[in-house]
Amino acid sequence: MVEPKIGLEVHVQLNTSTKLFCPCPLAGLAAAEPNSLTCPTCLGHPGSKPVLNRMAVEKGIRIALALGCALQESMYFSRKTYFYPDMSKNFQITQYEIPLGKDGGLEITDAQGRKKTIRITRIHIEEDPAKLVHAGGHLESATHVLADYNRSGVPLCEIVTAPDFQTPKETRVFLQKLRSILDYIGVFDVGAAIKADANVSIDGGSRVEIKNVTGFVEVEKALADEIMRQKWLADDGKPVERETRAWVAEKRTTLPLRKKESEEDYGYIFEPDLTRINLAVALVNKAAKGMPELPHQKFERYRREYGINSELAASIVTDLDVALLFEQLVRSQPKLAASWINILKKTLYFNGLELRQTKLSVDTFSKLLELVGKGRVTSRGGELMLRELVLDASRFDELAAKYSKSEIDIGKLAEEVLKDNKKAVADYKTGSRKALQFLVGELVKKSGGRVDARSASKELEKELG
Amino acid sequence: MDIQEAVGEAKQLDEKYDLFITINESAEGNFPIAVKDNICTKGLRTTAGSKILHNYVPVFDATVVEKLKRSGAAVLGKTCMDEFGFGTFSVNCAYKVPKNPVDPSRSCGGSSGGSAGYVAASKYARFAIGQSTGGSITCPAAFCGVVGITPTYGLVSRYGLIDYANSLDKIGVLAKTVSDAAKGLSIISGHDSRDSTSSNVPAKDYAKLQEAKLRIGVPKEYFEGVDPKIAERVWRSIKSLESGGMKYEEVSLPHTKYAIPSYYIIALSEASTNLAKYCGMRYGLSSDPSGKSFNEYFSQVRSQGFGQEAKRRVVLGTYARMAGYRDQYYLKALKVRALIIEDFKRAFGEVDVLAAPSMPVIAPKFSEIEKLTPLQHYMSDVLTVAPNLAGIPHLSVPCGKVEGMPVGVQLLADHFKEEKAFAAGFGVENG
Repeated sequence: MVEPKIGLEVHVQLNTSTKLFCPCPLAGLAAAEPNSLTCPTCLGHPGSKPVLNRMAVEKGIRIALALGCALQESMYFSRKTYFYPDMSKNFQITQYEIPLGKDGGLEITDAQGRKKTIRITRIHIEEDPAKLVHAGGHLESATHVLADYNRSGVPLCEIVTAPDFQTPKETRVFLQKLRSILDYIGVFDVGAAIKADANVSIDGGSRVEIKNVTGFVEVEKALADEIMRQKWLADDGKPVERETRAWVAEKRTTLPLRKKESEEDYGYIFEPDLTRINLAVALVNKAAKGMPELPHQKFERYRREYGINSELAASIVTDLDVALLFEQLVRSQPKLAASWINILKKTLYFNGLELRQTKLSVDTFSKLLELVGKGRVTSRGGELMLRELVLDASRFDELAAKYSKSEIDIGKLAEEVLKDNKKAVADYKTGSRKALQFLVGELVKKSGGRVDARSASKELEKELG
Repeated sequence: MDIQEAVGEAKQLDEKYDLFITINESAEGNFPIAVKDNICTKGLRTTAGSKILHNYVPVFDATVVEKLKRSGAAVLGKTCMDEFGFGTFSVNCAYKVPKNPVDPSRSCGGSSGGSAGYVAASKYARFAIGQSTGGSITCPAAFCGVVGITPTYGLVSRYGLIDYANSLDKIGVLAKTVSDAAKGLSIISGHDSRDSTSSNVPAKDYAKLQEAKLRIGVPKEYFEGVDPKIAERVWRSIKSLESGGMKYEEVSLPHTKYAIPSYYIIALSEASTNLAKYCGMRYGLSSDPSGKSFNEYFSQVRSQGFGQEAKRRVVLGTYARMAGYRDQYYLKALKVRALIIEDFKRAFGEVDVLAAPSMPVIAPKFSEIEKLTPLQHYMSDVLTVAPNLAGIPHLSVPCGKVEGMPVGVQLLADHFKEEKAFAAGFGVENG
């Protein structure tokens, strides 16, 4: 079988402070009363006019630069006309003939560990329609539909890839990497969802488009499901028809939306209310200046400057917050920083948390490393402290006292361990090294991590004579 | 001036000539102003001449209305017009068809017919607000015997103007005299951050500008198919400018013949998208949606709310921008538009102002208009669409009468050179 060919159209919400064509604020949009964040422009009132949000253009340029796209000299908008109740004007202002950026790429690693570049065909900026709420259930069972225009005019950036993915997993790797880049360049709130349309064909057959999938895990699931469906059709000797399908997350399956023949003709014209926008060198330079070091650049630098292995470096750069924490720690704790960031990532993963969700500050983390570095807390103790700190960083002082080595009478603990483990003591006396290891383990455990293995061994050997 | 007297007069004129869609009884201010009904007035019904907006009351004032109010104007009414500006004779009206005060059996011209008729008939009004997409100021100005200035695209903010074709729409002034037109334009022009196509060129006080010695160009293409009696009147104006010390020469604008198709394709393509928003969902005409899909409901409201000409233009405009036709119609028309602009730029390298007839005919009788096919309707814009496509300022000034009806000469100038058109206009007026 020929590998599936998969392409993505990714929609990300730009984190500007106002909407794309009007001054309505985006802050608090998710929790706002329906239709409270609206104005004549985003409601499509007669006589209203769009005014382009320059910040959205700047953020779009940053995305184009980060994805290695060629920028066009001028920027134009177009009207994509179709009738739908979520459209305040029954046309969407988007970019058609001349997108903001073209011909870029993003490198990912495939399942075999090989590097491959996913080509970015185009990126463009457009407005989001209103949100429709199907009252009384989903699309089919709803008795009526409510429209909330708070979302109308929210700025989106669409990123379109070539059909360069061969497995659903690759799309997830790509989207994770993309999300990390968008976060780095400050154009996207990681809390917001990434939405995508995916197209897939197998064995050089017809292309099927899957609409409106939210989140990269869902994209992977939807594609796996669709590839399975196409394979079953092929196994039955049935043709795969060119069509558009919807991903129904609750049912974990795709359902047909429309056949290719009935696909809509949007009758694009240039948006006459917005003049040609010259992407002057100054504007591009301004956007470029705001460009931080990107994940792959950090990766190379960490390997070069700190000699960190590639697995750990890759893990650190995935999350901008973690990378920034690492860069601060590495100055004061060059020896400990990398390994402790690794411990932190594992601890976060174990708790299903992201660093930004914890209250763990650089200061607190530095203090923790200082305790470990100066030998006031054992490594084990430090790890146990970290487990609690990610849940409640305000307990640092209390935990530091609890795990501090000076708070403990090691000799007394050793005595107790020897008293409770007479068999092991006897074995030790017959020359068993294993018995000593066991006793060391018991002592470390009894100390709650406050005694490290080396001091435990020393103390026990002293006690045993 | 007692504004209530002006309101009273407007009511009388309306009874006689059907000039207003809405009269504002509680108008306040120092001087009366009538505004075309496609320009939003806060709290005052604004229908754009369409049934689909029969109950629409804007929540904001258009920028021009704001500026007028600040200068002391009392908006005493919203004038009759072709639905959304779709017409040359103000007969494609959902409400009343305005009658020409010079001869009520004849058209005021369109689409700013009510504003022109009001200025022609009123004792109180010095000027009124009109709007042009393809000739909707020049045509009624010529037919009613008043002055009409269509400014450079971008000189006057379109914020609050209900769109016909956004790349062509311009708000302008219909006035008693060239000087009144200049005063009116000075009030409403200037940059506005709420309209992205609004120009940054600093506004001028046109009222202070006077006669100047100009080079006049006479485009030969603009006399083809023109009523010879009208051509003769226009030539007399040109000669009077010459005797006033201005020189004239014949020039050519070779792409003029492509202006009509290019204009209608661009205007209707844009119009068909602009009218999409009227679907009975957020404002305007609505109906009972129960038992219908959204498509059925939208179609029902639009079928009821739009007049025949609006429907024709939506269909034509949609066709011109659909896949398969888009390249040969819409995109081609954009290229032709660029050639027409080049024609004018070349001419303005040689001369300051172009002088030509405003309309090829005098105001027709309603009985004559009824016999016209839609294509003949469209063809009557032959002299006005090119300056509108190019976005250059053009001033229509009365220059005598033919068969008792007014005739206009139009004076075209380069972008943002309104003062030259006004200067030539003074010459015609005093000639």
